[in-house]
Amino acid sequence: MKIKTKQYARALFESYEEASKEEKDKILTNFVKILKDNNDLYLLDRIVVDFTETWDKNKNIVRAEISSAHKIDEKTEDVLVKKIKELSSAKDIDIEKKNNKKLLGGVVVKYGDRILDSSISTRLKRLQEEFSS
Amino acid sequence: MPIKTKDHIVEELKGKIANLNSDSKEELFGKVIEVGDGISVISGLSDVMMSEMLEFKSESGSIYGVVLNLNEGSVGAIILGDSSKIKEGDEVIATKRILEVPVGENLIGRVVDPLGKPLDMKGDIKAEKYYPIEKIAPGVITRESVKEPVQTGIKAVDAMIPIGRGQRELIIGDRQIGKTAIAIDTIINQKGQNMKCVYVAVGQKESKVASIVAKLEEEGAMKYTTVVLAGASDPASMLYISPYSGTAMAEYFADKGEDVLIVYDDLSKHAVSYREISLLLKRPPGREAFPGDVFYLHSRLLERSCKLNKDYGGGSITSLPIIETQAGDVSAYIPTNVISITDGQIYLEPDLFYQGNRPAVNVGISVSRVGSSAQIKAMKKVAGKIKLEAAQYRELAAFAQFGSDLDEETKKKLERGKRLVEIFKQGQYAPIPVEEQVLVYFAISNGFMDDIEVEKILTFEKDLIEYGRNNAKELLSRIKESGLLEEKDQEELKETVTACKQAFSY
Repeated sequence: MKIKTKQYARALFESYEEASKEEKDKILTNFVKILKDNNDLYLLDRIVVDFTETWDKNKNIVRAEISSAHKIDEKTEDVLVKKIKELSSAKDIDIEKKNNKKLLGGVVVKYGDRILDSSISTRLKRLQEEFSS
Repeated sequence: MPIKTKDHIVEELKGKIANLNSDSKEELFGKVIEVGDGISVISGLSDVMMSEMLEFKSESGSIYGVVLNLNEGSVGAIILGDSSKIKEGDEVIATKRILEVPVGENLIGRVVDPLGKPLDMKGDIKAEKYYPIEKIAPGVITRESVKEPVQTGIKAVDAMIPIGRGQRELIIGDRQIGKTAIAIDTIINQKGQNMKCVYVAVGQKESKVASIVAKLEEEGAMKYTTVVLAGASDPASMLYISPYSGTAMAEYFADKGEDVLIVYDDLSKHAVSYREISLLLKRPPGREAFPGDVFYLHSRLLERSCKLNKDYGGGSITSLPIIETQAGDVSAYIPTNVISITDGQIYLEPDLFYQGNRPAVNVGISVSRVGSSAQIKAMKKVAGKIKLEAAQYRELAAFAQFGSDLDEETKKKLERGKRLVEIFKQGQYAPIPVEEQVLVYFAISNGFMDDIEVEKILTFEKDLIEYGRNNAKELLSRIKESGLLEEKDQEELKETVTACKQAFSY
């Protein structure tokens, strides 16, 4: 039977968690060997994606993306991080910052599959819709 | 409306700006993993609802879609618009709304697409209200039995297959046989009958729809009609939602206590478009490759046709769904489904059509399960025996081909039948008012036509109607107003017919 990438990812994660410190190095080599034996090496990219997903889910980590038109100072970032933690009830947050001039101002925060859009461009668009209706 | 000065405009804008809710809300978002053929698979969107509207943020503006599949780890949606503008990886945002269409008086006389956008270059449509396209049908306590007639203006239908307000009467037959003609004639005949009409064209040729709209315009029927068009070149998703959005537009009037007639032309193409969507979304195919819920597809649509009782406004939605059969095969999947859902069917037969009996209604198979309660009393009286006579004639005619030795009784029945068949003939776009139909049926069922040659029946009918209009105006309008046929009226009818026969020396 064909093994799905999700199943590979989960197996890898679980065996990694269960293994003792010394064995941990060995596990990765073994895993790649199994992939080779199963002729599934081409799935590696997708397994990596699924593995990070499993990892985040189990460790309660949330990936967040903050896009803004201008650079955000540390103080604002701290406020945002606190807010995201509060909303998503995650232990850890992995933040990626992006610069997007098209937003004109304000920030767009994405975490998990949620989005908080308070950019100037979106607000202007909403204003336009309000006026045209 | 008072004339706005510049100051007023500024003040109004200020108010709007001050009141605009610019708080950002937490929204659900996902990414497109797969797109094509009018459908899309999206990752993320973990809390999205079934049939929720989605906003695809493509580079060339927002495109909307509707959720149809909720899978583990992904969401399947149909795209209502140009799917070629959506790329893999595009952002998708859940709107937390069910798909809605504009409804209201402003839609009357317009040609719109299934989303309520105008297609007739007559300017924007200002919507008074928005209605969700999918709605649970009215329940038992809100309903009432069907008892008021819809006058189709087609002699064969009004006499033998009466349709009531709130009924669902299927029009079924092969291609090119006059199915749409019956529906259009019915719409044309609703002038002055307190009826709003909605014509939903599902997968029809735009040329055909254009000529229908032109005809309705010419007859003045667009004054109370809305045309919802999902053409043959539109994506399957548009075809799929069009009957539902047409019904939503009809429900607005029904909720206001008005009577609405809705034509779905045709539901076979609707089923085919739903099959396309279902197969692309990888739902398992069943009989004729239709998905398992194709019955529910039509039952939930047609259940929304109803007659509401007084406490709920007393409005009604009468629907005339059309089904196209392949080579007269009524026992295919979709025809049997829709036959079992509707309250009767008008079956059109190719043989009759090519013999020149148009409309080619087969009286034997066509039924109306509501029956004579959807006829005015006068019509009930004169047309009561007609259906039986017509059905008997068909049987006898087939039988009589074998021998020439027939008894007097049978010969009489045959002669009457021949004349009936002539009477049922009627031109397209020429609906006849019910009181004139009463006159004609009175004449034939009381034997006044038995001594007229079969070839001359049609001319006699024309003369009779003409004569009635000129010389028995009062009688006809009395029948129309009261709907009754008293002894006195019958006497007068008799006089009119005899006088007419003499006047034209038949």
